Amino acid sequence: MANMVANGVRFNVQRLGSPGPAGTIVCLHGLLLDNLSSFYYTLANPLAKEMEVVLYDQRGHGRSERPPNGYGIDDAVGDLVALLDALAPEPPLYLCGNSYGSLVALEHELRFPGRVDGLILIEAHLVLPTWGEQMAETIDLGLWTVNELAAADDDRGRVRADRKLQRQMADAREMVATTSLVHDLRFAPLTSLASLEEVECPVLALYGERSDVAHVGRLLAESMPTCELRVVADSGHSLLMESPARVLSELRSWLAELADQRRTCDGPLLDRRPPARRPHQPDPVGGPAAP
Amino acid sequence: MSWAGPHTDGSGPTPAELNQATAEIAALLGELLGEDVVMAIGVEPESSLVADIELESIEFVALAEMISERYGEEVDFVAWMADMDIDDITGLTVGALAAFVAGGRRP
Repeated sequence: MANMVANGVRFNVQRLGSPGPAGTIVCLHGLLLDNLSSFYYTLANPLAKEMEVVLYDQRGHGRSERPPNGYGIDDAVGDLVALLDALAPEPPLYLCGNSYGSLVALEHELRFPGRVDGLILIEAHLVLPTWGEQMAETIDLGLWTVNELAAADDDRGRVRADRKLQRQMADAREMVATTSLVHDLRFAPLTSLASLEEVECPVLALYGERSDVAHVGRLLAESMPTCELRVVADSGHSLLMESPARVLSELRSWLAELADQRRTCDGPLLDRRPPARRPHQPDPVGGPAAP
Repeated sequence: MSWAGPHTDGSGPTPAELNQATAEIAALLGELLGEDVVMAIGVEPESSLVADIELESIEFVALAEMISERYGEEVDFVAWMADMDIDDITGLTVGALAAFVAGGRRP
């Protein structure tokens, strides 16, 4: 299952767990130094005991192909749509993004409302005025600065630890040098705040209390009636890696609430037939059974 | 971390089974990183996958997938990983992985 071609690009895809009534969660990692392993190390395996989990390296990242072009948000959403079409995941379908990956998940919902049953946005960015410029400059500046620091430390005592960092930095530099990533970020179209109000699917927004984008979480909660904002103490923007257990428990409790709501909605008021499979299925997320 | 396979008699894998599993993991690492790299580093049971073999996290995920494909449902990697936190995973040695693989696929 590792390699799949979608939208003209070869993707490294991992499917964990089994299809079942609890549905599927598709995880979208962050930019540049990130890849699917941040989800694999944190949420993917525990969740895969309860539902199917799909991880993939976004184009240019991890072990996916690195084409020279196509690093805009439209392209990332196009990749996601093509992969979802090819994978045909068992519903209910949730998208879970981290940082930039959350922006991709949210933009997917704005462009294709109704295709997913819920969004989990961890430390989401929004494309607000000056965001593109700032991201582009941060990447250009940040990469070179960190690389110089690593090189300065590269004495014999630290050579092994530094080699891995050097390799990662070299890879990130190569991505910046050989792809349209920085250009595409710089000219990213602004997120439509008006359209956020029209989002109908449930949204869980998770932020670290020290996050530098915590204001985006408040903006999401104010703009989207379906959005529930939860702030995690003692964490920053690296919430997923800093507090994975807490993120997992928030995600599970939110999914359990949704499952309860679905059971209630599927109940006798709307449909007098007995539910087809549910009585014999274990509660997928450990929440209390609906009456 | 304790090894937990499907045995009911309380015995772990035999030394021969462990040796075989270690050799198989070394072969998979050779496939993943290149034979020359693995020869240069040397893969021993006490080798840490991250500190000694310098697997990057994305390479660890690829190794996990290779093991899952190689052994199929005989080894339940998801259940094993689900009980680990990031420090547990980054602290894994070749020997711990071999014990899991050897234990998981015993009759």
